[in-house]
Amino acid sequence: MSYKKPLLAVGPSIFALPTLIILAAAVAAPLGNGLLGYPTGERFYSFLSDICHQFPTRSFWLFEHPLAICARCTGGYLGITAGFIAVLLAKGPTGRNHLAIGAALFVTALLEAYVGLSDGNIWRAFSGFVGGYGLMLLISSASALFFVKLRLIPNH
Amino acid sequence: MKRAMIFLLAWLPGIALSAEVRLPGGTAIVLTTTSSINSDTSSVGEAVTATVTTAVVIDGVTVIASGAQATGTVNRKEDSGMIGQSGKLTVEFTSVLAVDGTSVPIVATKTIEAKDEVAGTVVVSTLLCPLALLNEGDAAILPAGTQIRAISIGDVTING
Repeated sequence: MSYKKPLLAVGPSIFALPTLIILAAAVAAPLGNGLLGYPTGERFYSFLSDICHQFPTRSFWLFEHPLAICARCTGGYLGITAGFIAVLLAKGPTGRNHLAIGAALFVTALLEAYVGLSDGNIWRAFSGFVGGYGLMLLISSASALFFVKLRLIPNH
Repeated sequence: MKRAMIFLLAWLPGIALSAEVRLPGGTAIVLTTTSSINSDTSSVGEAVTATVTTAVVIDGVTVIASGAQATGTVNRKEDSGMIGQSGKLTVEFTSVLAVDGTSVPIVATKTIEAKDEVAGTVVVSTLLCPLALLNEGDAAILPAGTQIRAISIGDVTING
């Protein structure tokens, strides 16, 4: 099966679109406060305050203001975006193998976040990226298998 | 003459090191709460303190040192109660001490809300046992060590 088939982009898109909105808001917050002045960016910080602890020392900074999500979340959402681009470009068959790889990456990143092995924002972002990429693989493979089950797309 | 030299030597480093620095309004300052604040045990207007996590440096001069104290108050609170009603707490920090003792006005607000249990309590009390209505919700707790982003208000001149 190929991800060029529009139906297969449905599952990943449902997750990718909110991700892009969150990333845009996360960057808009420091841009607003840093370039246009306080309180321009505050609405973006407030918008994302329920999904992230927003600890400034655990976030990347832009124009002397922290992003509205922490480094791990930033990595996670970037990973989802990268995974989304990868599954759209993928030409080979996907299915149980990708599902397993995605699940393994996602669970590893979750465990790493729970145990807290990564020290420093770069490593936290990397861990998040791996988890986000894995999550997108998981979602795209699961949705592909779901459509195969419904016989909406052929099984290869 | 000797006395004048000693006075001059003691005075010169002060001139060399002291510099007036302008802390522009809108500067981000990171605060960390020093003690836990509980919605059930605190009261509105109660003073709360936090410390500056990372020093604020302008043109190589430290204007707000790491560990400097920020002061604020409990702005709003709701106690947890029966029927699973959760507690709510809002703290607001209003000033932080600069290196020269100047009080720098800031705005920093943090709202904490405990997980609401009202719906679950009502369902359980209706289906299983009316005594479940006595279930008390959790208090909102702002733990010590919580980081809060503060913004300085207006330009302030500080002797760094």
